[in-house]
Formats: sequence, structure tokens, C-alpha cells
Amino acid sequence: MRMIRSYLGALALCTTLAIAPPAPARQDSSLPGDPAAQPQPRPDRPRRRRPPDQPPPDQRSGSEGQSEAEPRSGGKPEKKKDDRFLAIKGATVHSVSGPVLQNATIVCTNGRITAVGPGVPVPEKAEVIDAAGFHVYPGLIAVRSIALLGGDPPEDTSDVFTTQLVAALGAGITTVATGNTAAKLTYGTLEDMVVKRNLFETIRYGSSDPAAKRRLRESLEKVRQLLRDQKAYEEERSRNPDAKAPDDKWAKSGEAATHLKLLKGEATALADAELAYDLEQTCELAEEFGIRVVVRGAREGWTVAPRMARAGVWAIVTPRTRDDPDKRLMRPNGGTIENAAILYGHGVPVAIVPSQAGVSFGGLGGRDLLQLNLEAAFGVRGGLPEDAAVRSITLDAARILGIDDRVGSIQVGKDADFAIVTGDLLHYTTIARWTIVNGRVAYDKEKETLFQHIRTGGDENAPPPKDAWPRRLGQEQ
Amino acid sequence: MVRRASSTRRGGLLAVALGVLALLSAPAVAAGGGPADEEFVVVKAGKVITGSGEEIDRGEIVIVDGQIRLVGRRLEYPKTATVIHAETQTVMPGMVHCRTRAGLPSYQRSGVHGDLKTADEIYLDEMDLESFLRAGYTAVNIYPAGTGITGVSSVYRTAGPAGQRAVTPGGYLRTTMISLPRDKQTLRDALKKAKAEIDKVEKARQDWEAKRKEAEAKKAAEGAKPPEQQPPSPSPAPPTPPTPGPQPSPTPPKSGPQLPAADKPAPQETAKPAGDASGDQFKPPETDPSHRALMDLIQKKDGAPALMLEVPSASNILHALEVLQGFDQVTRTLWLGGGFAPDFNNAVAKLGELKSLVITAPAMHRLPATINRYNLVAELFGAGCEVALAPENDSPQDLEAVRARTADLVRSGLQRSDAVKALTVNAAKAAGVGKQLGSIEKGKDADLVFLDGDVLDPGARVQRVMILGKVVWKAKD
Repeated sequence: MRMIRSYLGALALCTTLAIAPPAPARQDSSLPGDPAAQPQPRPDRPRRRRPPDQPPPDQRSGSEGQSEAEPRSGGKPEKKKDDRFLAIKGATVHSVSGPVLQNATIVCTNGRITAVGPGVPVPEKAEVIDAAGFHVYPGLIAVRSIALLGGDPPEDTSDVFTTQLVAALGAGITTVATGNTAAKLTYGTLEDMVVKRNLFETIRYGSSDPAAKRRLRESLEKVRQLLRDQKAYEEERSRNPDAKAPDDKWAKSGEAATHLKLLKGEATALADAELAYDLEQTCELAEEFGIRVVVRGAREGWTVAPRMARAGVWAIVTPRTRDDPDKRLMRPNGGTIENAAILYGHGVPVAIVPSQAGVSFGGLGGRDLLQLNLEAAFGVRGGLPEDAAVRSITLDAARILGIDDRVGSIQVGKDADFAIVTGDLLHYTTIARWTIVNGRVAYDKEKETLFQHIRTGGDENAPPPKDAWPRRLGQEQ
Repeated sequence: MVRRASSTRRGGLLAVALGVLALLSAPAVAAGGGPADEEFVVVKAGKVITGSGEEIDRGEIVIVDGQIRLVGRRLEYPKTATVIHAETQTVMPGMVHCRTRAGLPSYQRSGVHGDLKTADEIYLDEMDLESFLRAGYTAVNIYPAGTGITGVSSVYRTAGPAGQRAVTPGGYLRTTMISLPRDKQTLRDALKKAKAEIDKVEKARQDWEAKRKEAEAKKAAEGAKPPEQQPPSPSPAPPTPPTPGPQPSPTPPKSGPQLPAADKPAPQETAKPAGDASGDQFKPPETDPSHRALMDLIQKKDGAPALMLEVPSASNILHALEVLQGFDQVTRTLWLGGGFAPDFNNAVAKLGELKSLVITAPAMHRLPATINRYNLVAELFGAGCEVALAPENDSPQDLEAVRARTADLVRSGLQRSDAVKALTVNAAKAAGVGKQLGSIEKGKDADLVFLDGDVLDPGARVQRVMILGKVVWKAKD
């Protein structure tokens, strides 16, 4: 990492200061945001709700003895299988939510992390990965993806053996948002694929479509009025039993139902907004109606960062988005590599994605999902603290998708999704050696035929393991 | 000896023909079957490949009335026997093409059609099956076209006496798992419905039993003493298969030979409970005919055709198995093929674990995204599967190339004995006619192929084809 800082650092420092105050360094807090400089957006995010079928994370991790043996999907009485253990030994563990642990062991049971730390006892039956010299990160999360999994629903449409899937796993990615669903890249199995459905309600609130903007406002106002009427009715009913309930049939389906969910805080809105004006308008909407909004793009977010922080709007950004400033505009504009850093510095939670949402094998690479970690490294080039950059593709990405109770950090009780890599995650020579999804080895560099000439050990002539394909060709059988 | 007629449109005619045949031959059988009445054919071959693993040099086959009676060396047979001299040739069992349309048109049908049969759509007389004969196929398993659960396939000899072309029972229930999620949903719903129908019948039967017991108890209470001639049997005797027929095929016409059996109580196989006046016969409720084949499979009835799953990629195998979870008793065959870049290497371990019967084309495969070739058929055998080989399409060139392509596989690691099995025994088993066809063994039909070389010699050509003990085709030269 130090290397990146050194060769990126010089450029990064020179222009930032004039535009925005530098980001205060923070190590411990899992939330960005400076309480002194800005009104606190949301100290511990009480509005982010868990799906009702999931127990709270603390509860889950607290009662390991019972909860671990239960099947994940819950409700269905399944045939009880033997417990599935996986242990990763001797690695440097970057837990993201806590400190970096040297020479630590991670034990996973049935796809969940059950113990982390140095000297943790390993169950006898466990599949052991000796990861001495490797770094373990939580599996990376791509908040946008195309063509890695199938359509909707992913567990019924996905091909779990595609080359794209392997490549994404090779990039350390374990969870993606596909369509409106957060799903795991479960290579070779369809089990436990879906993490969360109905991630976002997409809204259109940009200057390019004023009519849609007006419609959205009107609908939100109408639904808000309904909520107020309902509240008034509740109050009146106690005094006057003959009070008439407001008609809410129209809000049971269609757009109104969606907006009702938004206003009640049961759903998150996703808006595409790049320019300062659109961002400001979106912030206004979020504040006025008290809805939770995630903006995608936010190219000029750095110019309105305080506004976004106040409105509690979260951002999905691409640090390498370039857009030369228009000098005729009498305000800061255009895209800058410091966007992520400035947003983060003002307390806007940031997830980072590359500009291409798929995996590309042809032409010039470098901006597709295979470089998710490098995209975050470019955030560092723009001044983002390294730990924040790692969080932007792990824990903060999980929070933006609302799945941080399951993935995003290495913590007891969370899913056993790891990227076991050769070095610092943000370094450009780092590659994944193993990728673990739900406690199963989904990617093993040594056995993989894709990019077989690139070896983690550096020896490209090293023979592949015996159970790697192709095998038994000719007389060897 | 008497064969069941298929349900072609000429079913009636066939029945008459068969009845006459049966009447003619019945006395002979009854008389004890002296050698004078039986038609002996003896094949003297340079080499007999039995298909089940044995290869006999200078072997002989004694055929009686179209069925194989003896296989070996220096066998005894009456002097009146017709001797077929093939001392320079190799004799192998007639191959069974276990997956073909035989030139019939395809349909755009989808959904559940378990009641459809190929037998309903073909006119055997109008079909030209010479290309099959030329390639050494003595039987074809013609499947119903479409997607979803398309119906039950039918097996026909490629030549032979008109009344004995159909091989019954045979065929499989064809199900596609090609277009997701539609096909997956179709199978899932069909299994659910079939199960519901079974439960419905079972419940009706229980109700009926309860009612009958109640009535008996009442009778016993009303009468001064219980009727002694009717002790309350713990297991009443409703027909054990409550649904009409174990198979969608109509009950075979067996009026002729079954004359002596007519005075016996009705055999179990009579599908419909006799609609006589006595109300103590259980009448099963109507079930959906399109789901009956599946119901039979789930109930594991004798003679129920296996489920054949068509899958174009490894992932779709997982999708199919996921839907079939909990239906372990359902016997199934898989057809692998049709995909653009099949990645069946990923499914080998799983299929081997399940000891699947797999139909696939004789071809080398390529690991996805590489130029490495692998021998799928050898891998499947090595993993513990049974493999049947069938060409992917029915052009005469492809049909004739099957043996040569199989020889290719043998050169790349497939064992010869496995290759022979894949062409003969396993193919017959996959078509559901393993009891009648597929090997040269006592009791099987004398459908033989005479080659002027070894079965795996690419230059060897079919010289003669024998069906039911009679040479029906000869090479012209």
C-alpha cells in the first residue's frame, strides 16, 4: 500500500486543499463523518432496518451453540447434515470492522464465522487452509454487476460455472447486487445464493425528465397526506368511534405502494444523479420527505458534499470518472478523483464501483469488475484513507445494500466470505489465492485454468495440483 | 413371445393381428414347445461381442423364435436349424438410438404433457429408417418434442414384422431443463401437483376405508351376531394401484392367450375398478392425466418410464437436482449436450456421486476458456456413472460416425469395455428397453448387427442387420 501512496501521493495532495477541507483521519469509527464540522447525519443509523426474518446480528452471534446448527433459510425443516467446518490458519486478518490480526485463525461452521483470533482451536473435521503469508479480507462487494449471475430470481436462472463468475471470484468478489437482489457468487452450488431481495426502489428525479420529477413529487405528497390522515384518524377514533377511516385502497399497489414503503422507511430509494443540481434536488427530496436515498454516480458530489451529508444521502461513486470542468460555469464542477475522499470526509458513506459493471476479457481491461480493488485504490489516490477505501468495497458497500448484518467484515456471526490475497488489497500486484463463499472454497488459483500462467508463488512452470482439470487424458487413467 | 401392441393409430389393426398370431402360436406353447414347432436360427460368427462385457471368438448364437437362447462356442442345435454363416464377421447386439426424433417435425409445445406419447404422432409405415439400419441401429427411441415435460418416448425397431415393431414397455418421460427459469418452474410445479394428486387419491382411499369399516361395524351392531363369513380383514383389498394404469399406455390386448385366465379374479393390472353394482370397490378420484406419468414415477410403480432430463450445461444439472430434491426415488436419466460450450467437467463429480445414467454424444470436450481437451465420457465412467452414447443429430453421416467417434474416445483414454457398453447395453437401458434389447444374452431379442470388422474399427461397415432372428437388411455391394 505504501507503494501506491508514494506514487499516487504527489498528485493527490496538490489540488485538494483549495476545494475542500482534508478528510480527518479516523481509524476506529465504522462510520465516516465529523461530528464537530457537520451536523451528524446519523450517528448509528437506526433507520436502516433488518428484514424481519433475520435476527439481529448481536443476537445471532451471541447464541452460537444453537443458531449455527440451524439451516440458514429457516422455517423449512431440512435433513440435518454433518457440520461443515473450514479453518483458515496463519494469515494476516483484516477484519475491517476491527483491528488487523497477525497470524490469526478463522474458524467457520456451516458457512458462518464462529471464531476469529490467534490460537483459536481448529475442529478436527475442518477443511484447513494454510494461509501463512497471505492476507484475509472480507469478500468484496460489488454494488453493481452485470452478467455475473442470471436474471430474476438469480437462484433459478444463474449459471454457477461461468468464466465470468470465476473471474469475479478471482478478483476477490463474493457478493454482488444483480438486478435488485444482493446475491453471492456461489460457484458450483445454488445453495445460499440470495442475501437480500428488493434492495432499492428506483426513483427518477433528475433535471432530464421534469415530468417524471413532478409526478414523483405529487405521488409522494399524496401518500404523505394519506399517512397524516391515517394518523389523524387514529387519534380521532379514540374520541369519536364513528370516525371514517381514510381511503387507502389506491395506495395498496403500484407506484403509490412503493412510495408508501419509502415514506415509512421500509425501503431505500436509488436515484441516478451526476450533476450538482440534480444532487441538490435529490437531497432536498430526501430531507423534505424523510426518505432514505442512495445516489449512483454523484460525479459532482464533491461540490455538494456537505449538503449530501446533511440530507443523509449515501453515494455510489467511481473515482476514475473523469469530466473536465466547464469553465463558463461560475461554480466548481466536473469530475475529480478526489470525489470519494471529499464525500467521505464530509460524512457521506461511500461505496466504490468501477465504471464497467461486468467482467470483460476483450480489449483494454482495467475498468471492469476485475479491478474493483484498484478502483478503490484510485480513491486513495484522491485522498481517501486506506481503511475507508477498503470499507468502500466491503463494509460500507454492504451497508448501502442493507446487508451489513451478514457480510462486509470478518466478525463472529457473519457469513464466511473471504478474499485470501497475496498482499495489501489495494496494491496492484495483489491477486487472490483463494476466495471463500459461504464457507466453501469457490476459487482456488492453483486449480483454476483461467490465467493459469499467473501464479501466486511466481513460478509459472509449477505443476498444477493433481485434481485440477484437464486430467486423465490419454493413458494416465 | 407375444408382444404387446403399441398404441399407434393402427392399434386396433395391430391388436387383431396380434390376436390371430397369438391364437396360432398358443397351442404350440401349450403343447410343450417341441423342437419341431420352434424356428431355430444359428449364427456362426467370427467374433461375438455380447455387449455385456464378453467377447467370444468363433462364437455361435442359437436363436429360437426370434429370441436368443444360447450364446457360446460349439453349441447344440437341431439339424433343421437355419445356419447363418458369418465366420468372417463380427456380430454385435443391434444398437439402440436412445434419443432421436427420427426426422419427425419439432413442436413449440411447453408445459406438462405427461400423457402425450410419441406413439400417438407417428406412422411407422411412412418413416424411412434405412439410415439407422445402415449405421447398425436396430431400435430407435423417439422422443416427443417441445419443452417442459413433453411426454413419454416410444421405442420402435427399425425394421421387422409390422406387429412387432414397438418395443414395450420402454421409453422415458422427457423433461427439458434448458430455458431457465421457465423449465425449472414447470418441473417444480409438476412435481408439486403430482404429489398433491397422490395425496388426494390416498386421502380418498383412507376415507373410503374408514367409511367401509364404519358400515361394517354398524352392520355388526345391528345384526344379532356378526356375519361370520366376513371377518373384518385388517387390510382390505382395494386394487393397490389406485390410479388408472401404471402407465399411460392402454392396457394391452391380451384377449387371445388369456382365455384360461379369464375365470380367475381380475388381475391387479386392470386399471379401472369394475364398475359393478357393489359399492365396496374403491373408486379413485379423477387425477390429471398429464401428471400421471410423474405420479407413477414418484410412487415407483413397475414399468413406469424413467425421467429423462435434458440439460445443456453443468449448472442446469444443479437446477434440476435442486428441484428434484426430496424425490430421490425418481429414477432419472440425463442427456448432456446441446450447449454452446458445455462445461460438463464441472458436473462429473456430482453425477458420479449419484451414479447417474447419462446419455451424451461421442465427442471430446474442451475446458471452457481454454484449449485443453478432455474426455467427458471417460471421466463420467471413471466417476462411477453409466454412459450411453447417442449422436447429437440424426443425419446419416452422424449416425454412421458414432462408432468411429467412440473409437476416438477410446484412443483418448476411454476403456474399450466401457465404450462397447456405452454403445449397446447402456443405450438400451437409457431407452428403457434394457430387458429386451442391448446385449446378446439368453432371453433377449435377436436383434443383431453383422460388421465386417471390429466394432471400434472406423473402417468397419455394417453388412447385415438381423431383427427378431431374421435378416432384414443387407449391404449392397
